[in-house]
Amino acid sequence: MNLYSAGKVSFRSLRANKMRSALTMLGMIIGVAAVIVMVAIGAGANERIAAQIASVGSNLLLVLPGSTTSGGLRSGFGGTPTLTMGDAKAIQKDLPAVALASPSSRSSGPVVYGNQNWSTIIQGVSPEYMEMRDWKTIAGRYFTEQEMDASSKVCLLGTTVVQNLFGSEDPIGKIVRIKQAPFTVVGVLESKGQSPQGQDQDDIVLVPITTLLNKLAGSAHAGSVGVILVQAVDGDHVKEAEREVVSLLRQRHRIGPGQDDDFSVRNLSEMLALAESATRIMSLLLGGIASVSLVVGGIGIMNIMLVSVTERTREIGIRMAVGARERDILSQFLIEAVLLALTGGAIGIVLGAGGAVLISRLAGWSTLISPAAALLAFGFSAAVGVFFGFYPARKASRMDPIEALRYE
Amino acid sequence: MGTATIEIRGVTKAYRLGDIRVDALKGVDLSIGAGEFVAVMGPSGSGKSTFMNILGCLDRPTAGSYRLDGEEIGTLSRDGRAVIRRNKIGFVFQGFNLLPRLSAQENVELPMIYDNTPGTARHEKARAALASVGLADREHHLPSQLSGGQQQRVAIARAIVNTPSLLLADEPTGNLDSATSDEIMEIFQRLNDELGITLVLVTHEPDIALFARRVIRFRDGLLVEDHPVAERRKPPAAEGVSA
Repeated sequence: MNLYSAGKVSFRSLRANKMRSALTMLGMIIGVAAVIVMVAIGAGANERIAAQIASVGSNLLLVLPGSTTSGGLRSGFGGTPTLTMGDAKAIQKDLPAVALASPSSRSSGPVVYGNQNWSTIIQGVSPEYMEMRDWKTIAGRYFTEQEMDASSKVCLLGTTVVQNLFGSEDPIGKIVRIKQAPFTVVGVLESKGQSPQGQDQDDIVLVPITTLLNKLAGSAHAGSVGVILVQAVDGDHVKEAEREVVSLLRQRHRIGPGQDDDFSVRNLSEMLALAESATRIMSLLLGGIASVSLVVGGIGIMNIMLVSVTERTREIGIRMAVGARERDILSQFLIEAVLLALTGGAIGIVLGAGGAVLISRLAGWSTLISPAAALLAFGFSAAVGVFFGFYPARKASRMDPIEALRYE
Repeated sequence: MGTATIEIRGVTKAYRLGDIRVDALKGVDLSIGAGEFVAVMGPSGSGKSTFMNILGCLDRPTAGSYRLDGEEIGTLSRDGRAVIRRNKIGFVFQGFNLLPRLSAQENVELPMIYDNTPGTARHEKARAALASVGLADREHHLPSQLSGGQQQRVAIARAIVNTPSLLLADEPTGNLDSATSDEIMEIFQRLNDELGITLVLVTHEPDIALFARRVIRFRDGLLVEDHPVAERRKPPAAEGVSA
């Protein structure tokens, strides 16, 4: 019997039991749809984290003032302003494993343009900051070394700030007031979306750190910077850069052996990699749980095929009497099982894709349906059909034709 | 006729029912020549069903030799026997044994599906076979839409569509009234007379056996009687139908 005839025979017998075939398929449909949805959610989360890693910049270390190390009562991060502009310069200049370093300080306050005002974060950075975070301008330019040295009143606006203050007006060259002081807008920053912590990274104004410290921050913390962002020369030197920064700062801050650091260094890429692996484990777990329902669907197919083989004992006997060989009967029932599984799988893929889109619309989760996952699900359902269809098909093909013909 | 179609020597068949050994056939010798029409008789339990199963290649003898057209087939594998059944043997059963979801024509096509006869050739041969049993206009009817006699004729068409050298009929008129039985027997006679198909027919009814040319009788696993039919029956309407 050729494949076409076998397929036709199988299709007809499935059509003859529409309700039963539909219910059996439902098991596969639910299984495959669950896998597709879960994998889509997992892949979506993964992609979001990957995008966030890219938005932060690569091979970055964050040097924070204060310490988390144990030993009596200590203030937390940023509690004591211990980092200075000099520290940042030394890190960039003296350490071989460090490519760039930028001091950074934050303040917040209203930014006013005309009759519009918007309260936002004002961040002071050095010109290297843009390069380190791989942050580009979509209009205008970045501020220069000279402007930084001169504590010039220039600023760059994030897209959220531009939308709220200027609407569709071109902000380049306009004067905005930050804490009453007039600043010239020299550039607009490219949109970065949400940070890993869920903050809007575009709701920001960047100014030279010298300007922030000297003209905006007042005298309280004059000369000290909030954090220092450090970029290693490449991915293999991140650990080394971390060690170098620690030993340099201990030396500069005159911390003797046995004394605790008055700063701490965090590896940003590492934190994100951790988040990424957590997401991956979660998506594997989700996919694994969903696969269980696929196996349950397969068992449903096996069950129905066993019933079908018993019911059609006489048909099998007739087919054997007119000359069907073992493999003819085997392939007929195997194709029937695979047809059930594949049809269910195909419907499941469509429903799963629809479900994933619906979830991302309704719940706002990002989902990602890859053709590879759909193809894999399809292949897997075929495999389920073969695996769970084989035993009933073999049982059918091994029947004794005399017994089968006598069956009532 | 030359060589005999069927050559059976010392065939035995033993079953095991739990611990009890049942000898269904205790050594049978029989030759059936090409073109013969043999009626097999005997009470239930006489071994005639077992004999027919072996003859039809549905079962293999415990010992002894069975040659069909000179080929030893008593020792073939399951698949080997399936191929013999497909190419050389046609079956007609008491209960018709048509597939209920297939049309008359599709039922007749069944043996050809398993030898990969191409579609158009298959349809043509099936229609020709149906026409030869007088069902040219019933090709697309389902078995449930046909009378018992018509269903049995579809079964006959299915049995002869691959031009077998041996046609086996197991009480083919057992479920039919006597008028319809005569019609069916007329078809068998015609197939035997005109196409020269060797026919072996199991029956309980002596008057059905009279349609054959030779009668053999089983009792207790042995062949106890073997004689030609002295006065062969012809159905009353034979002249009219075959014309």
